[in-house]
Amino acid sequence: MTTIGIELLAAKPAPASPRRQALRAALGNPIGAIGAAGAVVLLFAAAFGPSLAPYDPLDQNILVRFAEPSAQHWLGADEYGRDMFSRILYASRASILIALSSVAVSLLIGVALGVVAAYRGGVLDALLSEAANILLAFPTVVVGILVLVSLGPGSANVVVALAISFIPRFIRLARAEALSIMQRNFVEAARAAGASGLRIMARHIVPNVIGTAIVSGALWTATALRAEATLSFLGLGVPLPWPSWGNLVADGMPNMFSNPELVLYPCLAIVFAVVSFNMLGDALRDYFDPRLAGR
Amino acid sequence: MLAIGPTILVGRLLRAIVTLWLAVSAVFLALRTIPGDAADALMGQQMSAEGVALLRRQMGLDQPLIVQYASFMGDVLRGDLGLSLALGKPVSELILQVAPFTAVVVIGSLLIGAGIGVPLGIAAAKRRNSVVDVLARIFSLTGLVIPGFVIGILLMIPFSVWLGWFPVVGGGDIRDPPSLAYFGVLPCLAGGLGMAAYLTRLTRSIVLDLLREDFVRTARAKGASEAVVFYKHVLRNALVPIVTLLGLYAVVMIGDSIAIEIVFSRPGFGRLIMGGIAQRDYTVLQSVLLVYVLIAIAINFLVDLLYVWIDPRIQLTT
Repeated sequence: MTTIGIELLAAKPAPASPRRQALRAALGNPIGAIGAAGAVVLLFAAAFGPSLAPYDPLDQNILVRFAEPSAQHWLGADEYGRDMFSRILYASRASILIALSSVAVSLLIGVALGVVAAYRGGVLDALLSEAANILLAFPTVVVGILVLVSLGPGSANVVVALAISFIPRFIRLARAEALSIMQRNFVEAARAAGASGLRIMARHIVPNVIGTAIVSGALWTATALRAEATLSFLGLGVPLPWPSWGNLVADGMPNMFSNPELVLYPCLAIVFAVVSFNMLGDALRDYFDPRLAGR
Repeated sequence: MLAIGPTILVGRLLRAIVTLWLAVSAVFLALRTIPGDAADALMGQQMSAEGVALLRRQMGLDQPLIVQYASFMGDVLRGDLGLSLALGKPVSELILQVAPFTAVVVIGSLLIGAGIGVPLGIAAAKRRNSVVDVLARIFSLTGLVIPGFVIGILLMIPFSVWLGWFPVVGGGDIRDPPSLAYFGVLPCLAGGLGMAAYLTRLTRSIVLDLLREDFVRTARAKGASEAVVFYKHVLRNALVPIVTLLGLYAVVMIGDSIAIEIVFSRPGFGRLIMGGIAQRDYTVLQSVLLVYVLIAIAINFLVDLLYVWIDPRIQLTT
């Protein structure tokens, strides 16, 4: 194990800044480059889409009901004459925002709990690990349904529902990572120097764990997008008439036979988003965890 | 081979039971936090205030929460899931009625997933960096994360809407197995393709790991043919983790099947759940969630045991 580690270190170029490393990881192979480009397009759409959208996504114009794609309506119009392109663009904001914030929330809480569990050990560790194991036994969609039925639909509640599913995964990841970092000399040195437990965790363990967690965050963003789309499709996520990709699909289903394209476009948006983030995440993980490269 | 001592077995069983108890309690509490109780939901159906009060007493909703919880737990333990608020029929009857349709989707998806994923993963590992490998990688990267209901729609538009080969609505006739299979083709593909992507990737990495093992090198050094090395040494060992992953994915599949069933307007647990939410039929809702939870816990428990039984090097701590 050690020799492999040394070889890997030796094979790497001079250590670049973490940000540059991440950039190289993302662009260094075609899959990463495609994923990164897709993610940039999506973030751009989420940030500026609403100001770029040609129409108000809720504006109904019965005259263009089920309009074919044209210069005025790039992707046509839906049952109520709402511009599909504007609706899909607006939806990107809801879907991306929910996915990113649920991953961010889970990452922060999960890393904090995982590091504390690893550092303190004992009963706390046993309880947290067992709680994580129990939560991991349930499908994300079923947990989501339970939480959203209880709290009611809404963007913030979707974030809560996804976080409940994701936090145990980050606890597990951070705990394992923290346990291995605690074996390292600098932690021992800090302890010998009389640093408090809180300080050791905050200054020495968390900074080393959080990188790994962020790298896996891109993969979890893809999973979060997938789950958000499913829950919104089931009518439990973003409430209509505000668009999210999932509820746009559900909205078009009754007219599937006459106008399948109204269902097709939001589906393609979902595919584009989840595949982009998954490719990006995959490339990042390969780069930062070379043992897994090419798997 | 039988490495499971009674202590571990009991420990695992205890954990499964505790998990089950926590899950059942979570379902109970989650549904009691919804504003307005089940009697209110029924009042929407033009019932007088006295009627609601009577109903509330009859349903035990005027009792303190802890009493309700105790009687709920008692009912669950006896396997009594109660009556559907909307339909007045026993919930267990409703669940058993649609169970075969959900079973078709889940089992069919697992079969398709394993049938495509395992051979493709093996082919990719045997010819590393070949065209097959690259295609398998792209397939697994994309298929893994696309939601099952989206795959379902992407199959439905060409094959049902444009070509008209497959039905769009329904699950077939329960007394007519060929129709069950015919109505199940697209839904099972919708679930199975995602699973195939997952299994392709993991099978490939498992087989690649095994090909590097000492015993494979020894077998080759002894002059065993490639076929013998592959089938006797690699594949036999690969089956263990693959079966485990299959079990773990079955849990994911149960969650995915809900939206897939809705896309294809099939009868099944998905429709029961969504109908239960729409009609505020809490007994149906909580019962179906309980069935999902029970299946998920049972699968996790079996996978855990399988893991140890097949590979005694794995130590389970109780």
